[in-house]
Amino acid sequence: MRFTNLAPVLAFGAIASGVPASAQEHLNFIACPVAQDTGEHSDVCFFVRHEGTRYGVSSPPDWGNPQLGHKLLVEGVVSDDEQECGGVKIEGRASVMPEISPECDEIAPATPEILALELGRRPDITEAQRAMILANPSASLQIVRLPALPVPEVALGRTETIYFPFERDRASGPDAMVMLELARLAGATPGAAVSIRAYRGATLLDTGEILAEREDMARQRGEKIAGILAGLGAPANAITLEIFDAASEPDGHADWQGRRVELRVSQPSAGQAKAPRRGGS
Amino acid sequence: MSRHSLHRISAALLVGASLTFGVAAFSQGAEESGNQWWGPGEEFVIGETLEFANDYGRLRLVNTGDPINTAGHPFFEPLGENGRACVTCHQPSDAMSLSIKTIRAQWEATDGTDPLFAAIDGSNCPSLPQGEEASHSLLLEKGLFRIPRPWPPRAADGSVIEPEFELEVISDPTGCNLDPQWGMFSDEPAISVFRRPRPVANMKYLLTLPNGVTPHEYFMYNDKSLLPTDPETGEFVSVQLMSDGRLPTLRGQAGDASSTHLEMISELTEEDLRQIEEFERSIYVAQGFSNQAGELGGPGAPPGLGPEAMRDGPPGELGNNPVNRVFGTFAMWLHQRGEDEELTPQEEFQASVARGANVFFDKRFFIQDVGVYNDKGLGNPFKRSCASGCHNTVLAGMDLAPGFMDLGLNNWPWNRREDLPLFKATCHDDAVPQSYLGRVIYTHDPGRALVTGRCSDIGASMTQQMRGLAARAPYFMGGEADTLREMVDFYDRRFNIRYTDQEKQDLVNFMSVL
Repeated sequence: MRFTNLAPVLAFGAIASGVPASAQEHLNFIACPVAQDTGEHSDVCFFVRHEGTRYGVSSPPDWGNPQLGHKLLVEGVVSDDEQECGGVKIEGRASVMPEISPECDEIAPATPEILALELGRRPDITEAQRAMILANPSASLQIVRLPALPVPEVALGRTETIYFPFERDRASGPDAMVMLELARLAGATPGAAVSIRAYRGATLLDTGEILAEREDMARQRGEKIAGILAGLGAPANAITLEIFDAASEPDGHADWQGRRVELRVSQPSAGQAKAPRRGGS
Repeated sequence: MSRHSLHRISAALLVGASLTFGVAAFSQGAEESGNQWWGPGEEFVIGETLEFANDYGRLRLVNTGDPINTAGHPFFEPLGENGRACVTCHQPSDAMSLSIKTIRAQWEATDGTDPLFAAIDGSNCPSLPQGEEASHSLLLEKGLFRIPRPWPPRAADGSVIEPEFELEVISDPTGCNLDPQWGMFSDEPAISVFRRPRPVANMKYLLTLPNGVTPHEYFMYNDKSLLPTDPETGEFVSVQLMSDGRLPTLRGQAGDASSTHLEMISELTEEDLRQIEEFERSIYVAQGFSNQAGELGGPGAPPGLGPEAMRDGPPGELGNNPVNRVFGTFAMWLHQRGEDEELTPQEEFQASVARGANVFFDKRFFIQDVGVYNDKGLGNPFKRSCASGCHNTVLAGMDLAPGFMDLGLNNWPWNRREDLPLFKATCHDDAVPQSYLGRVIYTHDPGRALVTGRCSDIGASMTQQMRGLAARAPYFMGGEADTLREMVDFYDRRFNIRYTDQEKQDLVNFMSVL
């Protein structure tokens, strides 16, 4: 076990009271998330308690933050990076379980130790900006935009993969931008073929249980994305949708990657089927 | 042209003239005129600017187009069978919405015979005896019109949408949901919900897609499905126009309203639609004068106040960063004198407005259990202010990201109404449940779910713009708040914010000048 980078966590005796799993160890469990207040001028972060250890939860942007009122499926690898939300960081994915769980209702107050971490603090107005607005109040309505997110690069023949939270068909904002670019590529490529392969996932929990998604999740994801690509300008008759209803055998190692849709725009090939197909496992 | 109408034209022209020399003359004129009702078919002239008195001061309307003579204009003419025009429910004096004060005055003035109170939706149910106050109680007491929605829902092409939930009428105080002719078991099954008319002004803010927040020029924020497209242009369009987003374009809304609210048998002509859209895109409204703060707009005033700011402002922009406050800075009203100097009453009020703006912009609280909102990426709870959470569109104050939310106004347990119908929605086992209410939901208005048929959308609606509030009480989609203070109290209670009394008053004063 590497403790070096866990020092900020272990400083909170009450927070990290248990023995954290070893770095690089895979964890797959369901727990109630706890919302951690981080101070008057900042947002909350989320952690879970699992076998006596506090684990900070993080996911990619717009993937879907944890929710009180719902349990959380945590699938990931214990990281030896810096702490997350005052706990041990887990690299992977956290999925909000769809059904409601009223018992998950804890908001942890911002303690001095948490405040010291300065979590979630957004930049405040600078003195120069304040002076500028005082001198010219109309400047407060002259739009200052955040830098635009980078446009994702897509290419003919390359497969892009969108991963989903458990039993969800909502792609994240960055994933939506990938779809935008793929649709543009398909629209700009005469005779392009658009392949969509949609999968349903299952997860092996640490308890030995297998948690499988609803049977129609692959179809739901595939049809939604096919509709989006067509709506964004990809020629509808160029889209081929393959649905893989049978979930892969989960092994507890990155099972979240089974909940995915693979997208590829390629040069046309003769005789390619256009109708939706049912795939195997 | 009637003598009465001629007088109205003179008054309207006087407004334009008075603005050249200052507003005092019209203020006096407005008080003298008293009734500010614009009836269908009456003739008025809308020049560059009009002002209308209200309890907080005066609302100002700016017209960016050519002068408009309302005579013969399809927005102002009674085109349908019941004698109403668009203007009946979108009065210039009421920020192009309709206040309860105006509704009551019109009832008194006409003994309930004005087309405003038409049986079709100006009464609690068309089958009730018309002309009796009790039959129009929701309109007279909360400013609510009956909105019948087909059940099961229908898509834009008329096809049936199989709903993910069953709907049962638990309480039907209006009688309309179980009415044999108008209810959900009638030949044309319909669910009657009751909603306020939204302001038809400042339209560029509602119709412009978000700038600089890709991919939300294409995608709904909530579920990352695609935005609807304009059936005529094929371009993506915002869904800010209506509370349930069922019609995303001005032309679509006008066509629908003409056949429903106006009971027009034929369709609006292409020229009618063009004139209505042109008018609606040309007018901007905001409070222009505050009885306590003075002139709103111009040198020395906060730059976001007055309809001229709306006219000149940038639509589709996010105002949740430290520089771009949603309604611009109010700093010039905050500290106008040294600590030892006494403020004038006007300066005291202005300082209160500025404090209220800062509470609106900066005071964070836990935003929790808002269906279709907390559950879409943000987390539950998240901690933001009014402005950095749901009211972030520069100058207009609604949510910029196209999406709906269940704030709790339509559903139990956050809001319980005795005067509205109560439905029990039971979602199917294979449906995604409403995120915080589950699969059995008691609702006064299923909102967006009456369009999509989805369980997760039950109770969700679109945020509204915040301009001209002083002129158009009551507030919220179901008219829950009779006053600005009641609106603040709702949020305080809903989110356990614990505003101080001073903060509440500051917020009220702030909203009264928007």
